[in-house]
Amino acid sequence: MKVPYANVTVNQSGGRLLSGRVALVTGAGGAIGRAVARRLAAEGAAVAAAGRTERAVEQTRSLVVARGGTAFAFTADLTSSTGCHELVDQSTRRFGRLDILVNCAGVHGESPIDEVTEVEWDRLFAVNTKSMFFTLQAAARVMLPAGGGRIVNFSSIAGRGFRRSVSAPYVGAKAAVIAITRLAALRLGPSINVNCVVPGVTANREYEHRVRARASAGGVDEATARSAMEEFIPLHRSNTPDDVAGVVAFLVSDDARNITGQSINVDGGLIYDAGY
Amino acid sequence: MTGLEGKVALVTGAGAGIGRAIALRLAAEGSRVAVADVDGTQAAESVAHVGASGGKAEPFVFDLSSTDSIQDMVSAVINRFERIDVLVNNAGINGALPLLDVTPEEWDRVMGVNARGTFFCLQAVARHMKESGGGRIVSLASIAGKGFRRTSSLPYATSKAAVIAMTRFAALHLAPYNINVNAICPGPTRSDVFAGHARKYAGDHSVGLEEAYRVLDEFIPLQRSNEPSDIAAMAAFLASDDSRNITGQSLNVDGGLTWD
Repeated sequence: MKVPYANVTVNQSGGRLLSGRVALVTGAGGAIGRAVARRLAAEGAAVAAAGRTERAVEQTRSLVVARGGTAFAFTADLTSSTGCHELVDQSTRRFGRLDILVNCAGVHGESPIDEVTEVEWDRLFAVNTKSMFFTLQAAARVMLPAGGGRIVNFSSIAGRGFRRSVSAPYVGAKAAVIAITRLAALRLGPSINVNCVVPGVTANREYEHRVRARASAGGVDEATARSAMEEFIPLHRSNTPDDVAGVVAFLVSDDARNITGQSINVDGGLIYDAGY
Repeated sequence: MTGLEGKVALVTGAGAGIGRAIALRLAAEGSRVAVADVDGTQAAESVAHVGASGGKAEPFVFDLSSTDSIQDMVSAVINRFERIDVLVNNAGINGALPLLDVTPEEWDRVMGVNARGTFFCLQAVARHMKESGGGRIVSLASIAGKGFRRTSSLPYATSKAAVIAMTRFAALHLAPYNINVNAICPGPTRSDVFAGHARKYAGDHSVGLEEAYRVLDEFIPLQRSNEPSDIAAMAAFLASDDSRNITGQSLNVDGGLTWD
């Protein structure tokens, strides 16, 4: 009989102890990936922080280490399957195991439909969908023989019909992540749980820049600009990167052992299954 | 860390099964728990369990099919604990009859408790939370309300779909008062009905209960039905700081059986 998630003991008291586990976080130089890396490290996991830009992932690593956590930085180009497989190999060689993969790497699109070029289409699908899939594939090849693991992907409410979306390739690439999450959950069960976080408006660096721009354009303070920008959200607040990281921490914990194939909206109530 | 220390949580149907597991878990996170149930003996038993594990709880007896009884119970909880920060709308009943045999009495009974009762509990507590500055509401729906193909009772499926719909509507309309409203859709869970199936299978086939569960769980992608504590863990997450920007969602805990 196969023992699901055999490398982890269920903690019925509900602790989120990730100590002894290794988590690979892609996109770890970005605001959300960094928050995820810090949170998982705070829960006791050793973190492989991977990203395109050496300086950014190195900063994530040092932030984790400064708080007493364990982390190692990896620079990786995930636009090719080779890059994805190499990253998983390197991380597994460095830490000796892989228990958790968080696929945070992603890129936004801005072009309206009539301006989308083939280059932009390919780039958005390469980073948002192809890299997510081949990193998942490489991680699953490590996790399956080891007894199991947890995978968390990142979609967006854009992939679920959020009506303020702009970019067709972004919407398509993020919808694909939800579909792949479902299939992977079925095919990689019972030993690997595969879920997806679906953020709404999240205050990453680009968003903070827009808050400052709006404040200076309107001659108001940043708090005023921010609340005007967030009025359309039912809970009247955007996500902080930590809000998103909190959901990831739940999904990789023992508390979520029977959750798989799900894509969970973290958006202050903007959408349900679809639409707005 | 979870933000549940010192909070007051009202859990309905907390006298047994999933509700009792939720009461135990929220108490373990540091909340004081109002254990509300139609059965006073079972409520007292859950309170004793919470006390034995070092938590704080008190029993409240009420009838979810009576709006007067709901209002009296909510008032009694507020009188006793001074506020309610978390409502877990767990109380519910199962339907028994196949579609062609459903009677108006069966329809009214199931809808009266699962849909009507759940709503008026939510309303009574939300009125209080609006005044007190916010809170968390978690209702128990079911994957039966999302089209799970092994569902047996039509009124049950309808009542749970109603919980999913009211969760969305209430989330939108209570968001301005800083009240998050979500639902949990459990799949097969080792309490009540599913445990009954397992006991019957074990008896019919002369095998142990664990073997019965192994066979019955084979169709689930993760190959295990929920323990009540799996549902309690999701309730604790939805009541915690980690989920402060999640609202209007009905989240499946079902080992991968359903998606939307």
